[in-house]
Amino acid sequence: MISVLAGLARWRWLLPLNLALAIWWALVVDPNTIQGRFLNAAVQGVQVIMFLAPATAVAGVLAGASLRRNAQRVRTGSRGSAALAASVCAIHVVIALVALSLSSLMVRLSSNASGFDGWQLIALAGLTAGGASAVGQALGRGLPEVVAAPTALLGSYVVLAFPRTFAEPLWLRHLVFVDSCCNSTDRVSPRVLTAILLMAVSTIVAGLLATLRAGRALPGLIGAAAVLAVAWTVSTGLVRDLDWSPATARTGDVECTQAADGEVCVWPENAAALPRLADVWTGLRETARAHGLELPTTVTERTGGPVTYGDGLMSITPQTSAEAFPEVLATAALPSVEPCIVNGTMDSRIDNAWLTLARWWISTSGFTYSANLIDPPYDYLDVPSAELDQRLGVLVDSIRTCDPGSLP
Amino acid sequence: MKEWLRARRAGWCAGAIAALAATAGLAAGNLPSLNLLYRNSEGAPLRLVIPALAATGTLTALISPTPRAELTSARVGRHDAALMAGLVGGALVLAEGMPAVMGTADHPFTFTRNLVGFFAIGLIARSLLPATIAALIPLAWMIPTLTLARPEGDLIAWPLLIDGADPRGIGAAVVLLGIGFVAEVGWTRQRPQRTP
Repeated sequence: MISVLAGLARWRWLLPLNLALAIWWALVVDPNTIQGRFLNAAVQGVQVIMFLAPATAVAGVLAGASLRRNAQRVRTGSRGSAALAASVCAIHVVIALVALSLSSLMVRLSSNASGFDGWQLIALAGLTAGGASAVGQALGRGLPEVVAAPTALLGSYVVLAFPRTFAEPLWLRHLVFVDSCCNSTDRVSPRVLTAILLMAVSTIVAGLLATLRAGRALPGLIGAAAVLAVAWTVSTGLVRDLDWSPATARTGDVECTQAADGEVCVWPENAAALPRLADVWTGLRETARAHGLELPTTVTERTGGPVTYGDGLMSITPQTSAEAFPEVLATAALPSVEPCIVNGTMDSRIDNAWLTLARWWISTSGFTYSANLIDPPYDYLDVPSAELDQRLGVLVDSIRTCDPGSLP
Repeated sequence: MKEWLRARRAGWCAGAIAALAATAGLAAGNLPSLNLLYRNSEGAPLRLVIPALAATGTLTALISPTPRAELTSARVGRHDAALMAGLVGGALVLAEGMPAVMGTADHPFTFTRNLVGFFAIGLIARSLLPATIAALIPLAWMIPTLTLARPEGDLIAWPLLIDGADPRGIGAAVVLLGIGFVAEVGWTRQRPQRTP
């Protein structure tokens, strides 16, 4: 029976085609975009669904057409046609999952990524391929093959590609698959994952209901429409308030190391940088303590809320150069200037105070900074050495309170 | 002849191709699409994309409903050729003629180039794949072209070249047509039509 079902699913050409597409896609993806994290490898790897789904839909049409041609034989067999359609759909999901996993793992290997936190995307893309298969089978059973096949091919591509091209509504893109995500501080929103799951499963169920025949065709079509309507309503309710980004703040455990009087904590994919980060943080903390700067003793990548930088929060990738660590850590520990931005503008004195502090802190600790930390036009630290610590405190307080009034 | 045309779904195919060609002739603007490599969603002018559908329609009309009969003496090659020429020619007249008459020709001869090229790809595919699947290949070809190619087109992505007189596009279409013709006459028509 398995071999009959596999033949019906056209596995002989679908599996090699899917594998070839997966390998080709993994070679096309730029590994520099992965940032050492499997989630990003999965996001890039599963984009091959844009090609797998149309191929699976065509295989579904051919299976549906075969079932229609053999309807009499099937009717007298031991297994109902709906069960056969579901079995074919399951085989298509397995084939897609194999290809999607291969693509994602190849991207993972080529980019030296770590973890497996993007497996949900692979599973969801597999279900999306299952939806293409079910709809293809429904078309293949109801329409001539030469009409159903182009319709399924084009339709599955349009459903995947077009929502991302619409300026409005932006949330529409979150119903099928994730095509861009995530920075190291982000993860894919569970609401997006749930919405994709609902749409994929409901498409499979609707497609299978639409394959029903022998007096059950009309109830099947009504049932399919009802399932899709409910899934659409719930899914759009989940993502309606999102913009183009499917990301939300990342959760999970960071890896920490003791440094001076505090800690440095990074996400697992950046753990290799911890010893060097700890050395640099120790140097920066010693300077801060020597001058009485009231700054965080711990810097971490774990935000636990809306993503901001400063006030102890930082973000690196495995590609971040060790030479940039002093700047990264100083930026993380200094007060964030973001709250001081009102209507897109900020008092330039706040900006100058921040630049002055950052440059002084890094250079006094014996490190170098990049050209990004430009020389501020005012030298706020041109004071007698006895007043230096007090002036540093004034700068920190001015940034923290967004009040430039006390600045010279 | 009437039965032969009906068996080939010639009426439906001609109607669909005429509607597509008229759309290509009248419709301005782009078909939006997501380009995964260049991260833009401008897509391509409808006039460049629709020929893939028209080529699929033409190849569909060439599918024999009785594959084995293709090998019998009843097989009439010139009927196939006439049907093919009629559908392609009609599409070209509509798609290139309408904008020329109305003075709205945006990208003249790109429809011709792309229809010829896509149809040729389908003919090549017919020599390798079952006829039903081969008819999908022009459409399938357009998917990676829209999804991965440089938006302005190049030799590999010749269907996206905006200039109908670009020698790269013309060269690609002519070479494909030559290979497609040889494949159809020298291989496909010498063998029974395969079924998927």
